[in-house]
Amino acid sequence: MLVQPRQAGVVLLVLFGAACDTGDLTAEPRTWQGSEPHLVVRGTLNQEKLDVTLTPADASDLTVFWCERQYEVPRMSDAVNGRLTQLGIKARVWVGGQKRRLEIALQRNDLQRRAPGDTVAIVPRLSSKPLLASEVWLQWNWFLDDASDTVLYSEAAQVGLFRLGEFTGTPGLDGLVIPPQEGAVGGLIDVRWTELDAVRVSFTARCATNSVEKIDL
Amino acid sequence: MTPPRRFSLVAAASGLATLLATGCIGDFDFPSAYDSERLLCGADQAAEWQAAVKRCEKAWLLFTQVGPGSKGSGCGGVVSLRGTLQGKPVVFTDSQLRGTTLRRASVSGSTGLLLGGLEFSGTSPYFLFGLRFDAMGGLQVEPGVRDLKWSVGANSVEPPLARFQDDLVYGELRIENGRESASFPVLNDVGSLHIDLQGGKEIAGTFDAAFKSPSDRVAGCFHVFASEIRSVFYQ
Repeated sequence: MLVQPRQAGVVLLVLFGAACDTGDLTAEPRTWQGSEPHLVVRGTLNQEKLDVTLTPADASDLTVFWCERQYEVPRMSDAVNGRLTQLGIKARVWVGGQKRRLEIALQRNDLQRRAPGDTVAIVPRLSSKPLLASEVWLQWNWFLDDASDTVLYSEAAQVGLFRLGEFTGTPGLDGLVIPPQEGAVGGLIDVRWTELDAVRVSFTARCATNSVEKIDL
Repeated sequence: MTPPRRFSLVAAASGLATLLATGCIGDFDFPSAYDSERLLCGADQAAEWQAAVKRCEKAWLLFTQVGPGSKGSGCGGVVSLRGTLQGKPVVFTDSQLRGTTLRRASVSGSTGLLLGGLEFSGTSPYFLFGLRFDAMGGLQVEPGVRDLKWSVGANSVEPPLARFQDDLVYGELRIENGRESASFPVLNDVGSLHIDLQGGKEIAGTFDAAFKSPSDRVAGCFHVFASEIRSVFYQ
């Protein structure tokens, strides 16, 4: 029952796609822009053109731009048997005269164990569909960066690719968790939400904090 | 800057009826599956609600004590809610939640484990849903009732110990229809989360929340049993 109207919508979008603003697919960045801390965001999301570039100083400032690693460790097991479950890329940026907090979460793929250059597919965030090892969820959140912390946008992406540029840092004594304030993560995100919403992001963020979840039951 | 949805997950189900109605079929009344659903949170439905909770508890005990190899698929709890989502009226009761994850917070400065949060997922007539409460706080077992206020920033209160000692809680509803999903954070200062029972692996209460926009307001009740427990460590 859910499928038929959706399919009709897709057909319409394909038919009229040529006449629409389908997101700027020619926008830079087209490749990962290297190990120096940086953040470049280009594209269209939620009917809003995005063109964000942090200065090198801001990109190196952990209060402006940082990564958060989230790990999980099974019960009755050493941490080395655990895994990275989420990588959060967080930034304070200005968009359209508004100070915002950006949170991009790459979820359910152990990117720490991947090699530079590896590509994983961004797929819809559906709890009913188990992820393949080559897949990842991407959640994009915009908040107003003020005392209200208002959520402006919170959507999981539909389709895209993430190419890992680097994942640096040495795990601590447990063999898994890279200590806070150590290491960095970089890569290229090329992602779509709808026919109209497509964004490319190149980033390298120094990692500030960790969250570790131990599965007890 | 309210994000316009090009595709409403909640409205999708009624889309087919509209499509048919505007085609050549003529007038066509599609009964909503919500017509057969009821809210079970009131005093008049207390017996029915308690019976559903007992059935679920039995399945949960069997599953958690014997393990995934046991008969049935367990039960993560019972939830019933009514309100408006994406401009559409919704009402349903899921008496067999697919799963409930309970998060315990181990925080430096605290003498014991605290209640970090709760996440449960289930099925409604037209979509799958997940409800998440974070930074709930309090000890794992708390006597008496608690009233918590919705706050988008509840998760980022510093230091972490304060996050679990204040009366702020973060809430989020996620719905998915088999093709895509959307999340709806609870707005600040509209409604509240009321905890009637904070008993270790078992938590019950009621909620009243606006999800993403003030007009998308839902109220309901829940009684959940932890099918997964996680400890989160904060420095």
